[in-house]
Parts: sequence; structure tokens; C-alpha cells
Amino acid sequence: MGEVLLEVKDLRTQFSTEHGIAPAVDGISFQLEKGKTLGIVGESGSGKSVTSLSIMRLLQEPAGRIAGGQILFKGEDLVKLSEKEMQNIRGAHISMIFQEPMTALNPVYTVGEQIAKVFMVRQKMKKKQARQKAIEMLALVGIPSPETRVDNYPHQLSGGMRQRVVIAIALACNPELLIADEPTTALDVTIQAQILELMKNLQKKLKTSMIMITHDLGIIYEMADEVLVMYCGQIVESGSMQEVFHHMLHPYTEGLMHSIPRLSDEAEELSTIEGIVPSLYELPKGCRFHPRCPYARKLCQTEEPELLEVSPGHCSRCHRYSDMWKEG
Amino acid sequence: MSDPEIVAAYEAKWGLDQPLPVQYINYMKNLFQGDLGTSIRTKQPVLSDLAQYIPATFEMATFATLISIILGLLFGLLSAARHNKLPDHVLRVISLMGISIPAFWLSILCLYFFYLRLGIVPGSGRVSAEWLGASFPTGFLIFDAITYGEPDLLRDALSHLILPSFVLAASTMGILTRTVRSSMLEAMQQDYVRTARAKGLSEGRVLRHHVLKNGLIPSVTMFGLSYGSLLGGTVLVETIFSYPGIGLYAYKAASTLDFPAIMGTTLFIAAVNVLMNFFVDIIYALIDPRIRY
Ligand SMILES: Nc1ncnc2c1ncn2[C@@H]1O[C@H](COP(=O)(O)OP(=O)(O)O)[C@@H](O)[C@H]1O
Ligand code: SF4
Ligand SMILES: [Mg+2]
Repeated sequence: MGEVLLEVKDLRTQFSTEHGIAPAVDGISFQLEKGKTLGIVGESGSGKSVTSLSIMRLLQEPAGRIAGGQILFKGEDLVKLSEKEMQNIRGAHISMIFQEPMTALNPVYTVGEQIAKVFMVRQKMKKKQARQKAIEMLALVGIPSPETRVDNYPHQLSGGMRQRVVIAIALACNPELLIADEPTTALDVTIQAQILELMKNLQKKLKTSMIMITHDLGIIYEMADEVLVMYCGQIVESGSMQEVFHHMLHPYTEGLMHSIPRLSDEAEELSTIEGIVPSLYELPKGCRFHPRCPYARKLCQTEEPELLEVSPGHCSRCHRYSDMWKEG
Repeated sequence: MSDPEIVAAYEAKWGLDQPLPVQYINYMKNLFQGDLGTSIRTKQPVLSDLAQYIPATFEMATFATLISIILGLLFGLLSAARHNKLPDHVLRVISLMGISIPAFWLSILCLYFFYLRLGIVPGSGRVSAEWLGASFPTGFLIFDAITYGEPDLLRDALSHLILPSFVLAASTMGILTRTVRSSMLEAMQQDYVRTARAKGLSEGRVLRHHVLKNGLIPSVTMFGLSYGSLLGGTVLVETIFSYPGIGLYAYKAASTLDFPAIMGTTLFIAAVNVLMNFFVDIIYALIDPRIRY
């Protein structure tokens, strides 16, 4: 086993709202080795973004807060760091790419200024030198004629180009960990493939570890070494990409798998998981997935399943793998 | 009652015997030659009347503008920075009062306290009696007082200016406070602010570089829009403070049915309004790179 870069232990993140307390991330644990890619997959609202914002400590306080657990980055617990100390981690050691390339860049500054800023603040570079580095970064992320693009404003670039700029900003200081929160969801399919290809190449080149967040199992298949499947703030299945894809354990993962569009399929055969993601304020008793699960039994309505290691390194939160299921 | 002959002679003199479209065309013709007609009340050309009163109103409007921008920005930024805390609540009440208290009532209230009770400002006019006979080179008192080194005149003019300017500024100040507050709050919620934080920028840097500039763009427009109502407000304020400017002139023209003067003043205020919005558009293009003309 390689060196562990990030270890999350029993992370709990809550939002206090007028409806009550929402346990958006409810006790998740995982490890990420150096140079590897962890894929986090789940439907919208399952807590993927909150997980990444917790690691970055960018939750909207005071409504959102980390209520428990540890986030060990190179052995240091990020939960315990002050805001000042966290600012030295962000951008330099851990970077993040967000979903919406259209709004992730500031409209009143050129893309060059926004990339250069990182070098000026982080590495105390002079303006001219930082601009030169910005041009290099634009070239690195595959933007044609970077010398002229550097002076463009975001609205002068296409969505795919903007996402390349966002990636350039994130990778500017060569961080050890890159968190990509649905980096291609807002892009159309061909651009999506190009951006994923770029990220893969850059990751190899810069030896960055990555957390790839998506609701699309296809992207996980392309990118990830390890997979976490999240539902209602919990991990319902985890394991290596090979294991999870070929020996899928959890009914929810199956559901996600069936909702991937395939070229050979007729459009109408495309199924989605029936029912809706329950509200965090009224979680179902027992297994949180039982109202939507085709295998659900009485046991599932009353007893909450544990995350069990079914085979080495491959875990599932489902009663079907417990002794109780065989008995019932 | 009136003598038909006199009426006919009067109508002929002012061109009122012509059909309306012809009257209109005549007015426009004269207008393009710089002739706004002759005031019925003062018997002077409207243009020279306006020229005489513009400096006074310009001074007051400039003063009111400065007050409203400075206070509006300050209050708005403070309100946004202390969102939903005590300063925010207090400032929101103040800005609401600024917008909703009628200018005439605020004038009377201010006069009552600062003039009658405290006696710290003069109650009316533009200068004290001792300066009334004097002639001023440009008519811009503050400017003249400074260029000719008359500190007494400067003090006197300022003390006359402060109260009416403040009253005039109140509603614009309130509107600006609210605009700055809400656009700053909105800017803070934007994705690019999160991107900036994710770069590891400090909170101060994020606010100064990423929130401020975006947050102020809507305020510039709002200011352009409210400048018109500020000029309109001079009619009330100048009348109450007996301040000899365009507003008082307009009031007197309206109350004596001095049509050429009414039209001239309206035209002037409209022109200033258009000009102001033109400037705002230029400023807009300078600060927002998405706008290009
Ligand atoms: N700012 C917030 N205020 C209140 N609740 C929030 C907030 N952000 C997220 N949540 C809650 O956390 C849940 C998970 O959100 P998120 O992590 O964004 O899901 P996703 O997996 O789609 O990224 C949401 O369904 C919502 O209930
Ligand atoms: S515990 Fe029961 S309801 Fe939950 S996923 Fe397993 S079978 Fe389905
Ligand atoms: Mg999300």
C-alpha cells in the first residue's frame, strides 16, 4: 500500500436551517493514497459537495459546520486548523475545481489576472513574472494562443475554455490534492471528454492526487482507482473501481449503473432509480434507501444497516450481506 | 370679464393665436437657436433666468450628491459587512427613513432643530444679508470664495448649503445604501468568490478584489437613476429654504402659470438627466468589461 495523503475519519457536517438540523455528511471515512484518484458518486443531494467543501473548510458558516470527525492531510487534522492556517493550505496544497465554469471566474478581471494572482499571493512573484507564468499555465491546459488569451475576460471564452482556466488556477501552485466537484457536468459531451482527458494527463504529469466527484458512473470508470458511493450523507458502497464495477454489492449502485445511457440502448429503456432522494430533515427509519429499494424487506424498515466489509477492501451498507438477512 | 381686444392683442404678442402645431414648431425653431422664450413673470429671456439660477442649484446638487454617495457607500458597505447584526438593522432603518420621509417634512424638522432650537445654521437663502449686494464673478459661490480668498464668504455659503443639501440627499442616500448593501451581499454569494477563497486568498483580499468591484457596478446605475429625482427634489427644498436656484424658479413659474419658464426649466432638468445617464453609461463601460459600446 502506498503512502496515505488524506484520511477522513467519521466526518460529520451539519447545516442548521429553519427546518432543523440537516446531517448533510453523516459519518464518512475514507483514505486516499498519493497519486491515486478517488471517485465519489451519488445522486444530487447525497452530500458530495458538502464533503469536498468540508475538506477545503469552505462551508458557509455559521449555518454549515463540521460537527465531528477528523480530516487528516499528511497527518495534520484540518478540522483543528485556524482560518489563517487553512488559507496556506488552500490553493497551495489542496485545490478545488467547481461545477459551474460559467460563474466560477470573476467577470471583471482577465483570466490572466486571475491566474497570476495565485502566483503573486502564493509565491510573492512580481506582476510581470506572474503574467508569464499565467501564460505558461494557459498553454499547459491546452488553450491555443495563450499570449493573447491571457488578456481575455471570462465572457470572451467558451464554457470548455473557462473550465480549462479554472483548472489552470487550481493547478497553478502544483497542489498535492485536487478536488474536482462535477468538473464537466455543465459542459456538453465532446468538451466533457476533452476536459477529462486533460485532467488525466495533467494528473500523470504533475503526480497530483485527486478526488473526482460526479453523479456519472461512466466518469468514475474512466478516472477513478477507488470508489465511494454516497447516499443521504453516508457511504453505501466503497472499494476499488474494478471491484465495485464487476462485483457490485449495493442495490443503490446497481440503480446508478442502470441509469447510465449506453449507445446500444433504446432511449426509452433507460431507467432511473424510482422515487426521490429523501429530505435530510425526514430520513426514513432503518435503511435510508428502503423506500426505493427493490430488495427491501421488513428488516430494512426498522434496522439501520452497518457498512460491512463483504470482501477484502470492498464494503457495503446493506442487510443482504448480514447474518440477519439469511435468518430472516 | 376681460376686454376681448386686450386678450387678442396679448394672444398675438405671445403667438397664442396660432394653431397648436404651429406654436410647437415655432417653439422648437427658437429652441434650436438657443431661445427658450421670454418669461411672463420676470420679463427676461428664460435662458438668462436659468443661467442666473443654475450655479446655485448646481452647488446644492453637487453637495447633495457628495453627501449621498459618501454616506450611501459607507452605510451600504457597513451594512453588508455586518449583515443581520445590529449595525445592519440600524442602517436599514435609517435608509428606509431617508427614502420614505417626505422632503418637505424633513426640511421643516431640520429647520426646527438646527435653526430654531440650536441656531447653528442660517434658516434660509444662499448667503447672509451682508453679502446680498455683492456681485460674484462666476456665480458659483464656493468656487468664487476659494479663488478670491474669502474664507468668511466660504463659511457663510457652506453654512447655508449644508441643511438643504442634506435634506435633498436623504432619499438618494437611502436608495444607495440599500443598493450597495444588496449588491455586495449578492456578490459575496457568487461562485467566483468561492473560487477566490479556494485559491487561498485571505478574507480581506477576497472582499477587496472580488466582492467590491462587482458589488459597486449596480450602484453606479442606481445613482444615475436617482440623480433625476434629486434634481426634481430641488423644487421643494429650494422653496422651503428660499434658496434662489432653479427649483425656486420652477416653483414660482408654476404658481404664476409662467409657461415659457415652466417649459424651459423642465427641458433643462431633462437635459441634465440625459447627460447624467450618458456619463453613467460611460463609467459603466469603464468598470464592467462585459459592456462595450
Ligand atoms: N448551504 C446549505 N444550507 C443548508 N443545507 C445545505 C446547504 N448545502 C447543502 N445542504 C444540504 O446538504 C445536502 C447535500 O448537498 P450537496 O453536498 O451539495 O449534494 P451533492 O451530492 O449534490 O453535491 C443537500 O441536499 C442539502 O440538504
Ligand atoms: S438494507 Fe434492505 S433496503 Fe437497504 S439497500 Fe439493502 S436490501 Fe435495500
Ligand atoms: Mg454537488
